[in-house]
Amino acid sequence: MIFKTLTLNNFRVFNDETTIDLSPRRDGVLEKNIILFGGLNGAGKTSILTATRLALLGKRALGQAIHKKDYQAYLTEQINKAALKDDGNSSASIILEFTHTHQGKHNHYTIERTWTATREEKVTIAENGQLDHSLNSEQVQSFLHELVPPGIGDLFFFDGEKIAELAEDDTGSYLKEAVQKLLGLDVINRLGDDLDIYIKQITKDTASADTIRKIGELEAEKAKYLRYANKRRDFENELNSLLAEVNKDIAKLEQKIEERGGAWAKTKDQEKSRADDLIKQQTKLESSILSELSSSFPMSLAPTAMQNLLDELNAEKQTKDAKAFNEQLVKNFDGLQASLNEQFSDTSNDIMANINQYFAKQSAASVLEAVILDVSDTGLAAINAQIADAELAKKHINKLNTELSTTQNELANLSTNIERAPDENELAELFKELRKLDSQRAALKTRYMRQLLKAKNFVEKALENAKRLEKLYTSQKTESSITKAIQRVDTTQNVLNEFSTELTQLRVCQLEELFVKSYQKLARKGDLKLSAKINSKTFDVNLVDQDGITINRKSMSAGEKQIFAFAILEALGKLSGKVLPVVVDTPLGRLDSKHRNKLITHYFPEAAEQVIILSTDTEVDEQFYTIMSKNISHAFEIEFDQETKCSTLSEGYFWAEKVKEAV
Amino acid sequence: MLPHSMWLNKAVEEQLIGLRGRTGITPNVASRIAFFRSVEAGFIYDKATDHKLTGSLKLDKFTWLGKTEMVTELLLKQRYPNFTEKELQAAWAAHVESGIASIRNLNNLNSLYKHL
Repeated sequence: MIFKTLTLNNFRVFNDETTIDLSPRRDGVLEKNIILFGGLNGAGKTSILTATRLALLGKRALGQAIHKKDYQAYLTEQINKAALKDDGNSSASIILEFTHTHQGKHNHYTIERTWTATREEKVTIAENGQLDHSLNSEQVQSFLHELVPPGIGDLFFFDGEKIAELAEDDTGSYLKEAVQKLLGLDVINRLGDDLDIYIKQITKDTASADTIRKIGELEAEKAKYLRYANKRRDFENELNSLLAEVNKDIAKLEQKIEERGGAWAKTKDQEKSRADDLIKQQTKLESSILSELSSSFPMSLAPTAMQNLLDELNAEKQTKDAKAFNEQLVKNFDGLQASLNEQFSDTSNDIMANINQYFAKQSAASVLEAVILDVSDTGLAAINAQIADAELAKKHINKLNTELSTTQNELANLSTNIERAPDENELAELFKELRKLDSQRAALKTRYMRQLLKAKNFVEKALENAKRLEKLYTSQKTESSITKAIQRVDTTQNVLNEFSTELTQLRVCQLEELFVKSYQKLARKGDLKLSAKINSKTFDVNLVDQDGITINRKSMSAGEKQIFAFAILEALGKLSGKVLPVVVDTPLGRLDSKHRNKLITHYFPEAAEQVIILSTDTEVDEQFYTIMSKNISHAFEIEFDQETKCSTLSEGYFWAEKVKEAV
Repeated sequence: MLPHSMWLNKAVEEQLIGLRGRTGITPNVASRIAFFRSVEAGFIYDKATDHKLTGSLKLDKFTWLGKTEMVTELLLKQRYPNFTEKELQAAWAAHVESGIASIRNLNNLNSLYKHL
């Protein structure tokens, strides 16, 4: 790549349109590669570097991650203040023309970037004078990034003072991207990224690896839950056996209580009082019976004898009555005879005799009967009453006796029951034990239920996991073809990684060699025996002295650091094989005369086909100008006009005209 | 008729006391029962056997016989019309002895009924 012209329009200190011719000129057959810009501080040297960077790198000229808004603000800031003052809408633009050999074709490109304070930049590209309308600003920028990768741009277009940071950086972040880009490692990385994208596209939902991981996790979780559940089950079994034991104990105890007549014990008190009642009843009945026995009852025991007695007594009564009638009759006989005599005088004796005869006959039987027992009428009545009483008493006793026998039977049964009833104290002990066992059983049951629930819970969780697993497995099946692709990609990526590592190793070795060569060229004689050590992972560059001791870069001076950085840059540039122009701003600021000398004699003439140096009059003074003159194609002087606050360019160097004149 | 004060044969008296201990039936009530049972059974006292009255339980007639006094005396007189007072007492004692035999070994009042 060779820059042809750079046209600045309303850019920073350059008002209106300023076109700078940058193409190296030939002196006969010899091509001179250095284009020198001279200018005092603030004249606009940095503007040229910035314009170059902006033209090629666009947004990335400012750094790695710049927000669009910040970039726009930055661009607005770059518009020439005087032009902006005249017209707030005035546009600024940078046009860079360059030739580049791309894909074997030598082409001429013109990049134009135009923007205003309010409108964002428009980038166009013309290939061989033909404007490509098909590309929008971003596509143009992508094309430019292919030509000049941003990481590399920093190494070719840089501020000499700032580049010293490269030497100070021991994290390697400064070099890392650049080295990767330069060494083509980024291609490998991009391939890896593309493979990632490919994988992401074919595994629409989730990455297969993710699924596998998830399956693994779920499987582990499921196993864990099942293990927990089994543990609970063990507990459960243990509790169950304990429960069975307690149940057995309870049964045993219950049987024991039964044996002791536990059932009777419950009613013992009741039965005792019933027994008391029965005993009272019995006593009452017995005394009733006794009292009945002591009444007329015994008479009823001899019914035949009693009947005989009664018969006799009745007979005696009749006899007695007859006797009494006779006596009464005899007493009245005299009166009867007198009455008969009065009325029946002639027949009275006959009648009387007849009557006498009749009654004598009547009384004769009764007179013969002896009255032995001689019981009065009241006595007979009393006996009759007594006999009736006796019969009643007999019935009563009969009844009482039935009652008594019932009572006695009941009492006998009760006694047996009471005899069977065990001792209360002994039973109480057993019942207490029973209650204890009962509560123990209840507690065990609760624990058992709890364990059961827990186990159930775990099993449920495990089942849930199993369901989810099944889902994942089915999705896995559809992914099986994808899995193959993934495996291939994985393998490829592994290979790429390996390749990348190897390549880095190799490149780093080459870089070390080139760096040492460069450094030795630029360094003072005392440093010639130094060697370099680059960490292939962090890209941290270290200098090692002749005794193999690493030199602490932080202890180096600013100038030394600058030299160190230039050496790295040269090495990198050579290693990359990229043919890019080098643009250096204030390259010699911190250097002493010896280092400047080395740089001027060894770095600039060899750095690239086109080297643009932006320097002050003190950096490249007459002496150095003279040294470099055989390589200087042409030079410009930038002058800043305090009144217009704009710079103008004129060909020649501070004293170039004089030189020319002198020549 | 029967004398005012009466007593029994020693052995009979002991049996009656024993019976009282087991059944609660006092000797006088038991003797009444025994008498009527012997009368019903047709026992007849023979003067010749000379029933010895050796007991020490001497009670008056009313205590011995209670409500059955009149009937007891009539039954005795019916059977033994020519006996003297003393002879009638002996007859009564003999009747008691004969009647007590079947119930003297009763264990309780309840079982008494079965034998009557």
